[in-house]
Amino acid sequence: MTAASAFLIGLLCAALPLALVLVVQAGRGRRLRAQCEAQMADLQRLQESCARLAPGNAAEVLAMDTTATAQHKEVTALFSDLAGYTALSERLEAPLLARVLNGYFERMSQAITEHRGHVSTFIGDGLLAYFGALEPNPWQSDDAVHAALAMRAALADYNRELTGEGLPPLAFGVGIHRGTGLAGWVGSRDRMEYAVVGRTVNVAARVQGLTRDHGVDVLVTEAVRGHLDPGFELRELTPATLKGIDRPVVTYAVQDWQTAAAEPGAEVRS
Amino acid sequence: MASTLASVPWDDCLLEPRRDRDLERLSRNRLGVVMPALPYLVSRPWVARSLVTWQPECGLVSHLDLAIGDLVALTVSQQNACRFCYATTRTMLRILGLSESRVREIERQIATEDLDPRTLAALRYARTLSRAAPMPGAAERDAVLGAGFSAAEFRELAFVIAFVELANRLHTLVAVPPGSIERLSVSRFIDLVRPLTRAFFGRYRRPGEALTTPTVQAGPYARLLAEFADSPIAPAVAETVASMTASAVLPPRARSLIFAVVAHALGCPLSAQEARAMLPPDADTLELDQALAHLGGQHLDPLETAAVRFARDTIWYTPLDVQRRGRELLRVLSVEQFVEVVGIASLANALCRLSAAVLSP
Repeated sequence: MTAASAFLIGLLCAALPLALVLVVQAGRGRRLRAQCEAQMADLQRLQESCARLAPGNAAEVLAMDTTATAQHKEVTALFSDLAGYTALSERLEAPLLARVLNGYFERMSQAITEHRGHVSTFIGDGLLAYFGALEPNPWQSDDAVHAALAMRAALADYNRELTGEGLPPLAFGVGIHRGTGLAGWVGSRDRMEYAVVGRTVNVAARVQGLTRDHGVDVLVTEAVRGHLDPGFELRELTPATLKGIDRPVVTYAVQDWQTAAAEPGAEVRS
Repeated sequence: MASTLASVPWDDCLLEPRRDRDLERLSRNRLGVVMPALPYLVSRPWVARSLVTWQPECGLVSHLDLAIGDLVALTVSQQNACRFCYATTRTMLRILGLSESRVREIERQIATEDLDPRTLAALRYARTLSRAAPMPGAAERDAVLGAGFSAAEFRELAFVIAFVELANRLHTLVAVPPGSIERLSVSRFIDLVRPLTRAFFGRYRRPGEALTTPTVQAGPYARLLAEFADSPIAPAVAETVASMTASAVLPPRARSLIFAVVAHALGCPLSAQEARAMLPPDADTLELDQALAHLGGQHLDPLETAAVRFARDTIWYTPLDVQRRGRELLRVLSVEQFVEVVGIASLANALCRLSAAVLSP
C-alpha cells in the first residue's frame, strides 16, 4: 500500500463517521423545524379561533397582557331581542330553530360590524353590542343608530327569505343608550369575556324592553339623541319608568335617516 | 408569530401599476432597489416619495440601534396586519445576513416577549403607540426611558413607529400585492445569495448624521419638527408635509377635514390645530366643527363627505374591510384623488402618533 493510498483510506475512515453525524444532525434539524412549524400553525389556528369568540382584537390584547386592567370609557350599548321568541321556539323543531336563529344573528352581527360596532354577547335570542369600547369612537352614537337601521333592513330581507320557505317572520326590539362603564376583560381565570360593566348596559336592556310597550322597533335615550346627527328622524315618546332608575326616562323612536334631505350626493354611503 | 401573515384576508390590488423613472431612480439611489409599492402610488409623487425618504435605516436614525428598528417594524406591521410590510421587513433581515432559523427565533422571541428588558420596553411602547387606544402618555414614555433609552433614542423610536404606521397604511389601503414578497421572505434561495445581498444592501443601511446647522422650521408642524431640529428626520418630514400642502389635487378644505378627522379620533391637539391652519383664510371653522361632529353635513360636497368617512376608517381597521371601503371610494374619486386621500390619511395617522409621543408633557 502506498503512502497516498494509506492517506486516502485514513481520510475516508475519518470522513465517513463525520458525514454520518452530519446526516443525523440534518435530519434532527429537519424534524425540529417541522415541529416548530406545526406549533406555529397550531398557535395561528388558536388565535383565529379566539377571534371568533372575542370582538375585534380583544383576544390579541388579552394574549399580550392577561393582567390588562379595565378602563372607564364612554360607550354606546345596543341591546336587541327577538319579539315572540318563546312562541317561535315552541313551534319549530330544534335544528330548524337553530338555523333560523343563527341566520338572524349572522345578519345582525354583520350590520353591527359594518358600522364599527363589536358584538359582545349572545344571550338566548338577545344580542349585546358596543360602540366605542375597544377603540375611542367620537361618532359612536351615529354608528349605533345607523347599525340599528341596517339591522332593520337586514331583518326585512331575512324575513322575505323565511316567509318564502313557509317560516314565520321575525320581529325585534332594539334599545340604545350611551354612558360610561368599566370596559375590559372580566370574569374568572377559566372563563373571561370582554364586557362593559355598569349602568349603561342595564339601561340599554331596559329601553329595549320598552319597544314592546311603545309598539316600535328601535328606541334611543336622550343621552344618545344628544350626540346624534340631525339627519335621523326621531319621534319623542312619553317618558317611562324603568326599574332601578329614579326618574322617568325619555326615549325616542328612530324612524329613518333623511339621506336626501340631510346630504347632497345621496350616492355616498353612510 | 407566523413567518408570514398570509392567512390575513387581503383584497386584490385597487390600482394599476405605472412607471415613473424619476421615482425609480430616487428609490434605487437611496435604497438600492425600486420599492415594489412605488408603481401603485406614482400618480401622486409626494406620496410615493415619502415611502423612500422616510426610511429610518437609510441615513435618518443616528442614535437608535437599527436592530431595534427592525423589531419595531415587525411588531407594528404584525399588529396592523400589513402582510406586505411584514414580509418586506422579514426579507430585509434575511438579505442583510440573518439565517431563516435566526429570523424564526426572533419571531418567537417577539411573540413570547422573550427579550431583554430594554428591547421589550421598546416593543411594548411600539404596540401601545400603534394601537393608540388610548394614546400613550408620559408614563409609557418614562417606562422606555427607564429601560435605558436616551431622549434622543426615544424620539427616533417614535419616528420609526410613525414611519411604519405610514408605510403600513400606504401598502394596505391600496392592497399592494403581497404574494411575491411573502414567498421571497421564506425562500431558501436567499440563503445561497446572502453574502452578496448583505454586501450590496448593507451599503444603503447607514446611520444618519447630525445636521451641522440645525434646521429651524417655520410652517406646518413646526413645533413637532423642532424636536428633531438637529436630525435629518426634520427635513424629510418637512418636505413631505410641504409637498402635501402644496398639492392641488384636493381642495384645501378636504385636506383639512381628513387631518381633522384623524386628529379628532386620536385626540391629537397639535394635528387638530394644524388641520385648522390648512383651511383657506375665508373658511368657516363652524362648518369644520359640524362636519367633524357627524362626518358629514349639508355644506360638504360629495368628495369631502366620501373623504372624511374614509379617513376615519384608516385609524383602526382590518385590511379587507378598509380595502373594501377604499374600493367604494374609488367609485366616486379619480385615481389621483384616491391616492391623495390615502396619502393624506396615512400621513395624518403617522404625525398624530409622532406628536403624541414626542410632545407629551
